[in-house]
Amino acid sequence: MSPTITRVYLSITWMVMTLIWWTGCAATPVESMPYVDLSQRQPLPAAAESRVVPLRVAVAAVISPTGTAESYQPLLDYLSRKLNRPVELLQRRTYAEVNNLIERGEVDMAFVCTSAYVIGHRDFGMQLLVAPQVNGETVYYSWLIVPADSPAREMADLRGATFAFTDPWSTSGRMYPTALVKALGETPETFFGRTFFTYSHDDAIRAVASGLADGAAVDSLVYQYMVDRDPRLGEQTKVLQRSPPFGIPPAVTSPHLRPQVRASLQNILLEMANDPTGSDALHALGVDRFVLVEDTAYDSVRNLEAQIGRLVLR
Amino acid sequence: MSRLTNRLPGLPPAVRRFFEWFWSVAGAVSVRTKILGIVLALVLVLGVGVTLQVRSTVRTALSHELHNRGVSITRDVAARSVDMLLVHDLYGVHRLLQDTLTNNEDVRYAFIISPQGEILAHTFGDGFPLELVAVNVVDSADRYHLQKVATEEGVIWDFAVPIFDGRAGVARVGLSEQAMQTTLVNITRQLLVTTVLVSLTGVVAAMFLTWLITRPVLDLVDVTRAVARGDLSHKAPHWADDEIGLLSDSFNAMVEDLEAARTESEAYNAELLRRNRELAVLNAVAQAASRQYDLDEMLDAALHRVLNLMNMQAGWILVLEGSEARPRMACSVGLPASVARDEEQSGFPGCKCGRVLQEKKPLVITPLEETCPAYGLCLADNLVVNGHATVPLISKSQVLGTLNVACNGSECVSDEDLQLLGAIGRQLGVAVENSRLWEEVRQKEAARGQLLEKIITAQEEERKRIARELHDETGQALASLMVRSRNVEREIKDSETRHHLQELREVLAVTLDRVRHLAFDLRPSVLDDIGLLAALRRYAQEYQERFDTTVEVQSVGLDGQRLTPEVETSVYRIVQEAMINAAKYAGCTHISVLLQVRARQLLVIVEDNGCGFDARQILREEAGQSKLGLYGMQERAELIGGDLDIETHPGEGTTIYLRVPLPQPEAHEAGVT
Repeated sequence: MSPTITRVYLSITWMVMTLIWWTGCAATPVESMPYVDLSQRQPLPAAAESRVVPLRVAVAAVISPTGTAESYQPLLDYLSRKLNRPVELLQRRTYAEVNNLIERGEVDMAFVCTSAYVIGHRDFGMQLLVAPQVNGETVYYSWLIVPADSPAREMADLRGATFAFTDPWSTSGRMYPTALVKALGETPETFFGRTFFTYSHDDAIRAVASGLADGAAVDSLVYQYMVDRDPRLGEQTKVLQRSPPFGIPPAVTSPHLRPQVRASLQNILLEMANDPTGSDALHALGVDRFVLVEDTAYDSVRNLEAQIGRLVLR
Repeated sequence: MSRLTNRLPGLPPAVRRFFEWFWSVAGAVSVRTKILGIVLALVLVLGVGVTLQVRSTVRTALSHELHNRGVSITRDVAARSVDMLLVHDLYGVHRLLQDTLTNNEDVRYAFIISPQGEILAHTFGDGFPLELVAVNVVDSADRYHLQKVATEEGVIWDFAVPIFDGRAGVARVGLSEQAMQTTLVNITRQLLVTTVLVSLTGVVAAMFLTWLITRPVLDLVDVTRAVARGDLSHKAPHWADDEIGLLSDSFNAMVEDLEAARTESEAYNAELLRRNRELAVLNAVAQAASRQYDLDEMLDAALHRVLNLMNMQAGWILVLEGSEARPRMACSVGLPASVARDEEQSGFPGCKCGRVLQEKKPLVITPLEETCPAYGLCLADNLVVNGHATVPLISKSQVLGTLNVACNGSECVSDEDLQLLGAIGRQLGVAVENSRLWEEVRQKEAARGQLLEKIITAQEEERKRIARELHDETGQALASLMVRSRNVEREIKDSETRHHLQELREVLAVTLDRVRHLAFDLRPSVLDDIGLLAALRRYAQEYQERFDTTVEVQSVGLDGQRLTPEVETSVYRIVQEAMINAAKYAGCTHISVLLQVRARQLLVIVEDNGCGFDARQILREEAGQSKLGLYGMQERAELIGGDLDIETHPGEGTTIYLRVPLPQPEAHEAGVT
């Protein structure tokens, strides 16, 4: 091969090599991006102490945490504005955890379940603040619900079924069905095929609607509230049995809360219905107004507890 | 390339120069290299192009997929961590992040920032790269925000998704590009390897293609070269039914045409050569015949040439002589003397070839009879004569002899050769006839010459005798008459008688003078007594007086030298005739005669300043005085072995050259006076 031809082939090879090298480079297009050295790690700083101490409000897990956060946010915002201090929402998975926070004074105010109040009041002097009035009443019911296509007509028909409890301390979600089973001369462990806790009423409704559970007992207020917001839940479930009225879940304060704060809180809550903004916040919660209630309003729960025995609750 | 660029006049000079450079390189290489180059370039361009394209497409697809996965994972983390965050289940969140990290290869890290900016959970273990927090900020209204982050481990795609509209914080997940890059690199490598393999296959295919294309072309070139060498037997192989096959076919057709044309041309050539040979032989025979040898020499030369040109080794010529037509061996080639003698003695009756005399046509005698003298004759190369061709030498339908050639093949001589021999026979017959006639003429000419010489000699002798008679007898008688008449006159007183006597004596004187002139004209005695030069001078003197013309006679190397009487007489008479002609016809006023002896030759030049004449016209005229005079001059010159040239043109005078060879001086150096 003549030198000229060799030169041509060499130049072709060079061009191809250049092309290949360029394709390799093209893999990382030049793009302005921040640089972070992942190996430069430091201990996380401690949470900065806020100079303004927020009002800490806990909401028991009657409905799921997001639902709670969404429906209580207007109320918390209202309180914050009225008190002129930040309000912090605290949620815990179980009623017991919330009661612990109240007992330890880590929460100033809480919306708790009826039985949790009964237990808290008895155990560490949880103080009743106000109670919501819904549809003019300050009572609620436990409704035994089953899937819409369920053949069951009463609790006895649910023998061997899968049953969803809400919270171990829930009056409507656990105490009442347990009482019904007891009345049949059984315990939930022997009567039902399987039981589980959903730790919130809306999840219990969804569990029955989706067929995950054959039955559940839920807060009548929650059920109505949920069916209002999602009519399909009403179509997929049906109410089998209604309980006698129980005292409505109240708003309580920690025994460690300063009385001045407690008084102003009570005022603000009682006056909310007269304030347009407060009225909107109440509406978001599905509540007419807050009213004062007596501790005796919860005696029916205490009776129920007495029926089924305290040990089961723990 | 210039042809190509010429067709594209609109090209800018730089492009044109590039094309010209390209073609100067690409056009100079073989077809093999061209095809190889094209295939290689094609495969490489295709391979690299496909690689780039696939790489780009894959990169886009992988980026899209990584992006979707990142969004999906981060949103999943955000959704699944909401409740746990709201209920402050940090351990659950931690586990969620760890699970996310474990279950997704690409996930490099994940962490949750609280609305207050605290890191609630992360997957870095001990410590946290705090710079990372501020790198990617997402608005709570957005679904997500992607920020690519350069790290020491490569580029990380950092996704930020607000949790619960930002109220529960922000989920951040970092996905590494590493896997995508590895995939890209792998794909690129595989494609390049494939390209290289395809290139190699392409090279092999190109070599096969080149072989397929160039092999028949090279075959064709070989055949072309063979044809160029003149070998038309080669045929280009029909490679395939394609263009090259067509080319081969048309080439073969061309070669066949060429071969046919060549065969035809060769036939013409052979015919031409044959004719040429015939002509050559006939010409050779004619040449041999035209040389004025004697008959046998002529025939011998002709036989040699005929045998030589016809590639024959032995032959002989018999001629018939005498009134009995006896055969005589005129010449022979390749025959032993004894065989030649036998052939001559046996004559024709001993051989079939005698038929030639009757049939007067060429004959081929084969095989030979034992009676033939040439029977069993061996030629060179141990070839035995087994036949001979006999051709009559014919002139005027008379057989004068035979031409014989010996042969040894099965076909003794071809018909063509026999025809040629026949033609030669006729030609030789004419030559023999001519030779005999010439011999006859020569003999007659010799006889005529002798006769002429005798006549001239007799004439001269007679003239000499008459001249002497006139001079000696008549002249003396007249002289004595003069003397006596004077004596008588003195004795006679009568004046009238004396007057008559005086008149008589004057008549006598005139007569005496005339007699003397007559004698001199007939034969000047001075020629015999003193010599040529003196005789000429004497004649010149008389001539001057008679014709009133100046005559100049000069001689070089002749003074005091006598030539033979024949020469002197002849030269004298020729010069005399020339001068008389000059006086009679030329009207000249001056004549110059020069005699010169040089190198045993006498040169005589007679030159006049007259009007000249047309020698050829004079010779063509009816026999006249002048013509006879010119012939007489030539006859005399030839009788003494000399030759005569006349140079003359009308108006330019006449010069006559006479050259006479002189014999050895000793033999004729007599009579010097």
